[in-house]
Amino acid sequence: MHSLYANVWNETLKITLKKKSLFFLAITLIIPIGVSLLLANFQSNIGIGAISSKDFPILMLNLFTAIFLPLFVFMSAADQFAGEFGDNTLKLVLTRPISRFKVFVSKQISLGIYIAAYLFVALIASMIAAFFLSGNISGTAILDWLIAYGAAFLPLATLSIMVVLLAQFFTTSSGALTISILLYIAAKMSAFFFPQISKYYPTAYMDWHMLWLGSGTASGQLLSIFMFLLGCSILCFIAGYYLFDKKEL
Amino acid sequence: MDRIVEIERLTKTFSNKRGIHDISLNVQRGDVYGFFGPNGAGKTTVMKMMTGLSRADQGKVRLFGHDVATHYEQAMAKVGVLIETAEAYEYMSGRKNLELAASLYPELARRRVDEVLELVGLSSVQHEKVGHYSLGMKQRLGLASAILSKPELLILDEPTNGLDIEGMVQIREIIMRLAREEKITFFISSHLIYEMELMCNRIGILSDGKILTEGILSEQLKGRFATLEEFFLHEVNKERGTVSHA
Repeated sequence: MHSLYANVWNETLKITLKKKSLFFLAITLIIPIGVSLLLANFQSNIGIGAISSKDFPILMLNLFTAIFLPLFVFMSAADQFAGEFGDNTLKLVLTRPISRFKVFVSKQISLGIYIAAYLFVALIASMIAAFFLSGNISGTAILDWLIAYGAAFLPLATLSIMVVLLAQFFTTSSGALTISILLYIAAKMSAFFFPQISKYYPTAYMDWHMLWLGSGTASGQLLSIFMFLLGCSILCFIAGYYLFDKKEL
Repeated sequence: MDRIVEIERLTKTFSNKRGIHDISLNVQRGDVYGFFGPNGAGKTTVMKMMTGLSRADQGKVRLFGHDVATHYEQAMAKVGVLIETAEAYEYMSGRKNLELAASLYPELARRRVDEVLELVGLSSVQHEKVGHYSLGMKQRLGLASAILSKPELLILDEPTNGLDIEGMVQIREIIMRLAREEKITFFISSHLIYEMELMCNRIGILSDGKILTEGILSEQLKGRFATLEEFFLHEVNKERGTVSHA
């Protein structure tokens, strides 16, 4: 198991050492604080508090899970697989005494670690930013934030596993990234035109953290979405590994 | 002597109908095995199969007695590899690249990274990003990465590819020193046939995906040929039907 742990660390470090990862991290910190300062200024000028400090972190989470974090997931998954295949660096780890399964798993785990890290940073930045806005922050509100940010991990992790599967069909990072973004936009757009089938897309549940908020949580609905996302993750993981294992370098 | 590399009836056909056919060879511990062949003969294909980068249609590769297809981790535990161009993560320093690779070998001492950097002459630029390295420096980094784990077998595919004369000499000297001082078994393909003649004790010649001849170098030459180059050209031309005498 040493090689798996070591490679999880290596893959996480590889993401960290890329400038675009730090750029995304900086943006994750800056956006909530910038938006809250603008809102605080705007709301004090017009004298209406449309968005309270209690709602602000959830509002930011909606923005992060709909656009910002999927973009990071697409970019990182494309880099970790199609990018390394294209620039021939995949062989650096595949010629070491570590099985392809462990390489595949460690890359997936490192993406999961980064999704969790970004959600954590986004939560902290949003919490700090919330203090710039009017309204009281109760303990229940903070608990809601923690639950919502924690719950947001699952659809993002599912999305990550799906993009990893997609990346197996590409030999360049840019190709995988472009198609991922286009498919994501198409899935989101189709929800407007074909709402009845959009519920079968995992991308329709990027905001499932909203279901966890408030006292009237529908446990049945939560469980069915959880099982659906888990099922999609397992299928995409198996298909992704099959293709990764068959890859010839 | 024990067999380090055993290749049995290795066959692979690509969609363009080219490939390798029925390759069998053995490398004994302590050998410096020269793997020769014209461009496109299938040398890299064989080496990729030896290291698990590519799968065979038929046949087996065993390294240290372990089947590469089924027991990859055990087979590769004592193997260092440099296949085709020496790639590295360009956004990291040379040292960080080696540290990443070293972390996969729990028993490796931390100072080993310093040792290999010193050996290949990259100590002074170890903290520079690999993206700023010249081709020769990247090739030396690739060699450092291959020998990092103190392997007992080194598989090198054209380790001097794309290098200038100075770079070629540096790589050749490093290889010769490793063979002499660290007693590493080598499986090496190179166009530097004069240098290879000095280093190799066993050779295999490949052409059009088939092994033409294989065995101890001195026995192969045995008074019939003055140099390895002469022998190599004779074997390849004989296969192509352009030469009929030694």
